[in-house]
Amino acid sequence: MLNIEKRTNGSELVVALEGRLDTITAPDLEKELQESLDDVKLLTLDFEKLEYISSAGLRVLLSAQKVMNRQGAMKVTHVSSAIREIFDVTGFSDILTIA
Amino acid sequence: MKKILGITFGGLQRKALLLVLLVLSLTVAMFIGISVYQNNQLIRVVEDTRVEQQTAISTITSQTMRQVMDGTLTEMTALQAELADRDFSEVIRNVYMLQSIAQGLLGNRGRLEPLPVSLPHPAMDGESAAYVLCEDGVDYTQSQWLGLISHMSTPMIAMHRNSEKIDGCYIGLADGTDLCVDEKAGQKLDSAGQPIPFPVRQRPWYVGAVEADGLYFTDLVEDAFTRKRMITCSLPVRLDGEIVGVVGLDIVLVSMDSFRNSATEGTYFYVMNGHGRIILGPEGGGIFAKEIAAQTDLRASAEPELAQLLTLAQKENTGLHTVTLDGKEYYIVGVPMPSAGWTILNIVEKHITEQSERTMLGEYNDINNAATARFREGVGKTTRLGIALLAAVLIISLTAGYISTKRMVKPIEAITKEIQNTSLNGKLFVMKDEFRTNDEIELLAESFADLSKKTKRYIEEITKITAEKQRIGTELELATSIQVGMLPHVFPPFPGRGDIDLYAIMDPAKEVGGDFYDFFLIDDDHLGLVMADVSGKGVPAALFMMASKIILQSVAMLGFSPAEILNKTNEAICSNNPAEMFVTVWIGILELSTGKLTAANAGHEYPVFKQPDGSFAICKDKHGFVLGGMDGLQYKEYELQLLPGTKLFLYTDGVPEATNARNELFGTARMLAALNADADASPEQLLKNVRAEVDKFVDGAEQFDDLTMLCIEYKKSEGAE
Repeated sequence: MLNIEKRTNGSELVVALEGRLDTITAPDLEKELQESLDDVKLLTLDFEKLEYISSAGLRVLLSAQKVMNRQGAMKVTHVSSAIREIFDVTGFSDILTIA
Repeated sequence: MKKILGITFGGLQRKALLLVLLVLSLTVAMFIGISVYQNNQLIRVVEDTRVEQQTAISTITSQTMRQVMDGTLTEMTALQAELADRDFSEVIRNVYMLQSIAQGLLGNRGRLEPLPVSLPHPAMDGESAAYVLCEDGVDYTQSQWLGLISHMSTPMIAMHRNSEKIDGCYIGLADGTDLCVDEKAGQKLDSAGQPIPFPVRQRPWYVGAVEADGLYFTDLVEDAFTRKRMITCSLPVRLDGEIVGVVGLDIVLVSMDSFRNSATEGTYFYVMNGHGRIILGPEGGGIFAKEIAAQTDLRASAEPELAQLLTLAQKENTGLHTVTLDGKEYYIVGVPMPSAGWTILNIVEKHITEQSERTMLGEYNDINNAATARFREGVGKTTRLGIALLAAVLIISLTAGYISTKRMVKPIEAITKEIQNTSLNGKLFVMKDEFRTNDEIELLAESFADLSKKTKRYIEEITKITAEKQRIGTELELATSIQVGMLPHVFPPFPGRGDIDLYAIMDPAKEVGGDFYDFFLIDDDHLGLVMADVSGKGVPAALFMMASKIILQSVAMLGFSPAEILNKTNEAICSNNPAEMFVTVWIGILELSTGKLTAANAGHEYPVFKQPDGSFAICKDKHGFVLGGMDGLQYKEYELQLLPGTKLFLYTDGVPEATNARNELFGTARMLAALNADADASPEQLLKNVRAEVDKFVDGAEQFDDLTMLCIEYKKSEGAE
């Protein structure tokens, strides 16, 4: 289960995630982001309530990062230690802006 | 559902009929209840009215009766007293006349010649005749006065003849003789024709008059000869102040006897004398039988009401009074008879007077009962008629209900049959004319027809999809065997080499997976070890995995170092990766002769090592980014010197991230514990231990991620000995 909550503030988009970002739910987030990223200069992913991220979820993050590399910036906030460890292991800590 | 008499039990029709029956039954019950209530009310009203009317009748009758009694009885008694008094006055006058004659005769003794007297004789019977009676042993011829007194015979006979009330008249003399005038001389003789001795001076009339020294009335006495009941009125006769005789008149109680005899049942006629004693009453004494027998003074009665009334009655007409004697109510009227000093009493049992009331009430009751009976009968008839009508209504309604529900249910039954037919034979539900009822049933039938068509289509589609799925399933089975076949899967992989013991498993969550392990000898002294995990699962991950595996191995076989292998592989993947997939890879090259391990990590899980004397522990090695994520990356490698007996455990995230039903992760801690539980076991056993622990942990929860593990034990360099 994944709840996706989007808040737009001008060219800034905040996407708050709640639940698990895995093979099942990752396509939902991918679709949401594909529809919303036009004209977005700053994408903030709020992971405060995110419990788990799988490699499929990481793939979506990577795609989003690549899009935002072209049109602005992306950052990930409120990353829990468990997810931080996943980022570290997979090397995502190096390519993501974790605030 | 079974059918009885054409009604399907358990069907809609029975339910509809039951509803009709219920409604009807309730209506009938209500109707009967109201009817019974109203009838009962009506009967109660009738009953109440009857009681009220009876009370009214009783009261009015009672009052009227009392008024009637007051008038009639009082008047009658007064009349009786007056009549009797008149009779008595006449008698008294006559008695005084006799006294006067006797005293006159006696006063003229010496101047009158004594007349002869005769003894009674049968020939005298039947007409007024004078004769002599004597006391036993008295010789009348010796009487000094009888001859004189004998002059009275003529007036005495005249008096007797002239008055029917006078039964006899006589004069008793102090010498024991008696001159008597009546029509019954014959009765004064015995069987031998001799006069019966007559105790003159002991007769009550004689004794009474002497004692009273004036007018005296005897009580009711029976005539010494005739046994007739009569009263004697007597008066002493004096000569020179001495009582020498007593004149007496026998009075036949004509009027009073008739009064007495005219008394009917429940009414009593009494004559009470001046001493309060009853001297005349009904046969047997009536209500005063005891008092009469005991000669009681009734004025001293224990009943104060009676005593008071009788005392008053000696003086005046009392009018109607009610007296209770022995628990019974009586009407009493008392009127005095001044001439004799007596009192006439008329007593009527009150309940006699109520007889008319009772009769009236009885008749009224009869009428009423008859009316009530007719009313009840009418009610009964109405009720029976009502029940019959209700039964008729019930039968008609049920029949009508049966027919109409049958008509209603018939198309439904037809539809049901058609549906059963449809489902049995797999035919299409077709609309028929009998379903065209212009109501919900038609809609239902149309819906069924529509549903039937759709169902048929769905079944066809599902059949198609199932076939497709089977085809895909077959293809996936094939893909699985291809994928598994691609990985080295024969253990031990290098039977000739005693310096390593290696075991690996790959268990995809779906038919094919994105995880893979790999190991290969680059040359005789270098063993390549790979553990990788493609993002995502299933066919896309499997395809990506195949490509990654082939590229990795191909580059490795060219003799590059681990970091270079990753660099080149990353370039190769990134150049053609429209799906933006990536793969995490740990790759190591073990120099078997020396135990030197050179490794690089592209975003993969940390490897786990066990030194010969230690336990399994995570080695936080240097990490690079995943392969395929970004091009142009430069990976770094590191070196480790493995001692003989060192074990290396590689795995994908499917192990620490195995999840149970409570959403808990297996975690690296449990993984290490599973390894260390029997740390000295063979690689194969170690992998089985971990697998067993994971299975125990998830406890039946669906395997979510691929589960891939590899364990290698570096034993000893072959050439080092």
